Amino acid sequence: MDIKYIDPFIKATVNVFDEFFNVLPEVQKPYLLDKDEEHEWDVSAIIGIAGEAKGAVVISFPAELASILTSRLTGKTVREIDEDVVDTIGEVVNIVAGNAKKGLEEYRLMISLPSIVRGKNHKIAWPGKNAPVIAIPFKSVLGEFNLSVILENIIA
Amino acid sequence: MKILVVDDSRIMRNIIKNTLQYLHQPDDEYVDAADGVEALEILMHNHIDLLLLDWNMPRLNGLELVKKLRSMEQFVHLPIIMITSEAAKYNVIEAIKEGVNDYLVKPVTERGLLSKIKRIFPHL
Amino acid sequence: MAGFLNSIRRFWNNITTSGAAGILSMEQKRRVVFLNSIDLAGMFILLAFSVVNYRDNKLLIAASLLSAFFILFFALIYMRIKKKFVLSGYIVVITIFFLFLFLLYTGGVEKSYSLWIQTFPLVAIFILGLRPGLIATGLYFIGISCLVFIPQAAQVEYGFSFGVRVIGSFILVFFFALFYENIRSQTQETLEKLSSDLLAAKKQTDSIMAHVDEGIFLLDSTLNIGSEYSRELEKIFGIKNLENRSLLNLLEKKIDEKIFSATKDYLDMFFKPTINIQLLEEINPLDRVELHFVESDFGFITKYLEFTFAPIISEEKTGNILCTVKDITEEIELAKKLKAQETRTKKQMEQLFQIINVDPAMLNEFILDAESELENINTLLKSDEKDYNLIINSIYQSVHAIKGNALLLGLSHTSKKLHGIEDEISEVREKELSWNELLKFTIRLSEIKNEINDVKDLVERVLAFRSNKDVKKIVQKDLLINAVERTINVLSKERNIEVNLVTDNFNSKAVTAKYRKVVKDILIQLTRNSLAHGIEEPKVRSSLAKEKVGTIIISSAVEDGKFTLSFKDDGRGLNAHTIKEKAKSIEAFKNMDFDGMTDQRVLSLIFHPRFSTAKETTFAAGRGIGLNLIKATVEKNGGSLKVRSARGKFCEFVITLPL
Repeated sequence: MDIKYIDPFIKATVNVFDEFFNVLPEVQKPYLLDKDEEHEWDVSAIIGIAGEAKGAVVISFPAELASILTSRLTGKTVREIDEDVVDTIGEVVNIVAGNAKKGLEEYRLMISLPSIVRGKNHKIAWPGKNAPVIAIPFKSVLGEFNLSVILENIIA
Repeated sequence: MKILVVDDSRIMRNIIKNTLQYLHQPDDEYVDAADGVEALEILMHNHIDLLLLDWNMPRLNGLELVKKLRSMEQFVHLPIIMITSEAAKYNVIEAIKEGVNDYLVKPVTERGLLSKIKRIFPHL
Repeated sequence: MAGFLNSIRRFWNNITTSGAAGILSMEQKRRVVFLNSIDLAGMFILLAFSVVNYRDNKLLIAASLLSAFFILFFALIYMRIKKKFVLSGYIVVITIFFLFLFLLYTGGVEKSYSLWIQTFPLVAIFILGLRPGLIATGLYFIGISCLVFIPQAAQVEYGFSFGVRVIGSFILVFFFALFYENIRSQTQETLEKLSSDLLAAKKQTDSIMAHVDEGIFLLDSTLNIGSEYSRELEKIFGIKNLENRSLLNLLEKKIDEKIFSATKDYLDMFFKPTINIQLLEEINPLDRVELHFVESDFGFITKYLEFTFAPIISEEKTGNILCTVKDITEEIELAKKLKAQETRTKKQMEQLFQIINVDPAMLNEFILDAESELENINTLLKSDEKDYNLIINSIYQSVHAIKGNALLLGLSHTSKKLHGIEDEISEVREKELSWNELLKFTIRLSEIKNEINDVKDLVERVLAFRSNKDVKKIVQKDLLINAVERTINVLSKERNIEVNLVTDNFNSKAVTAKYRKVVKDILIQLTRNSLAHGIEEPKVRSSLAKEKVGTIIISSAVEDGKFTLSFKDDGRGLNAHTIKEKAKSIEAFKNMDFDGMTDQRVLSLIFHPRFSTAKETTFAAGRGIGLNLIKATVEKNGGSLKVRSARGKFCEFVITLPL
């Protein structure tokens, strides 16, 4: 795992939040995430990565924040995690991915469209058997969310 | 035949000129230049039959020189072999698209260079 | 208007093919259409003539014409219903046969019926085919000859010279009909053979295209895929109906952008007037290309493809490019896997050899220790702690502790890796730390976790080979002493010294579970220090009139609710002067007043985080964190640590921990 692949995603996340929600999220201390660990996120968007590094970047939100973001963007009040929320989160993360892509241009990397997983304590099918996941928590006035990365360098 | 060798490294120019001896053409004449600007100057005032051109050079690099030459009527058919350390195929393709006749990846070897020249001048 | 004409055409087609267009071959269809047309035309003519004759009061002729009309009408309907075209053909031909003979018999106006009858051979031969047509025509010939030449055979007198003309022109028509049918059937035959050859060839091509294990296709000058391509191509791209699809579209966003734009330029070169095939072959940018196919669910599937391109030149111009593409993913993946496996196996074998000689129980303890160290760090990372330097220092201490244990067990790969990380941290721990560095070391932690997981896998495999009995026996051995023994074994070999361990007065059962790890860390760290700085080489010891073999004595006692641990070696002891000199050279101690220090105060400097007296940083010692860590741990547990030493004679650490 190389920090140079992760950095663009962090920057893109901060930028997108700043631009779309007028909120500057604060990055917290990273830690190791156990794949089976219980968590408090309700919606996760998974971006697949292939090329010189292989793995995934996952951005996870609690229901409350996902709802706030959705109503801010759509203007509708949101009561539960419905298709609107899923679509909105997908769109936001898609923009993050697009933003990150600029920072990744110099590397031979491809990034996929985000796919969404939802549900209380939902399971994410992390790629790689043993490789640990790095969790990077973000704090913002709207709520907390989390960016997790698992990347395996491919020997070219 | 008059051959112009363009490379910013004097040693490289000498290696290339030395290799050209193996063509066994006693009447051949070799001229050299250290960059694109010098090369253009020579081309304007001499009749050159073959241009051996390095890619990375100060002032006017090889690719820029090729573009310039191909836009000038009198150099449209001048045979050009690009000598490059860039082995990536998309670089080579770019050069050929701009009008280079052939390319050679460094290091320059006798066999490599001569086979490329013979491709352009089959009678040699 | 056009629509109206079209429906008329469709109606006519339907009538003349008896509504059987779909089931007829070309040749059959032609005959059926002809048959129906003749039948229909005949019906109209017969009806018309019948009316005319009726009006002229020639009732017999009118009646026979009308009955012929009905026969033809019957044939038409019969054909339509039963589709029995051969039988219907005979009905029509026979009707015409008798009709014409009858007409000839009656003669008509100015003997004009003799003209009509000339058409029979054409009709008979075409409808019935050559042989039956000939027979019918032969009989017909006899019939008309009789009527024309035999006087009074017909109602009218034809006369000889008129008869000759009728028969002559009949023979001429007959020969032309024969000649025409012959040519027509030959042409037909050749045509059928040709088309069946073509069909067979097409079948072969289709079969090749369906079964070849490469994608084969043609590109036109717009770089679109041609209609004939092998099935494999659809499999490779996972898309059906590739005809007229642009190859570039198929590749876009799946391959590297630079390679993609080069590919476009490259393929365009094939259609330039001056092409150098050899050169094009050399610079093929897709001769081995990585494609990333987006999977709907999650991430990518990577395929490696091998393309070849060859121009198909006609009239000195490239018409198409013949392309082949082969999926070489398996080969590449296999090669990659083999390489990775090779490195991995090599590493595992090394570790395996080391592990196999170590008690599984100790390995287990190593893994548990390492995991708990990582867990502690992770807890710290998850906490509110804002001091990055403190976190990095904790990471450093954990890495150091795990490294020490790994070294002790002889896990050289793991300890080397940890040593590298230790070095990385050493470079930054004094500086202001950024978040990025914290992330970097979190990533390192994940690598350590990976490493520990690998060891775990290996241990599990080794254990699978050993019987449970063995494991139990090993567990019963004193793990604390065992750990010290191991440290001594490893390090004494490294320094070429000999050490005797005395543990008679050590009771490991007195160490409570709470202190087990603390005591173990302390004992190992002190042993490492002793072997690195304390006990002299045998030669030196001899010259000092000491026993060649050094001694380490570990003892324990429980008194007044306190656990006391003593670690004593008979090495060179602590030298206040050397320590002072060393301390003076250390940047961190620059401002200390060394002159006013008592010896005891000087000795305590060895517990300072930045102090180390080993000349170079080696694997085993030289990192000041060791003693510092012990002091910190002991004090954290409310205990105390004392050091006593006599120069050249001994050095003793006494640790007291509350119970």
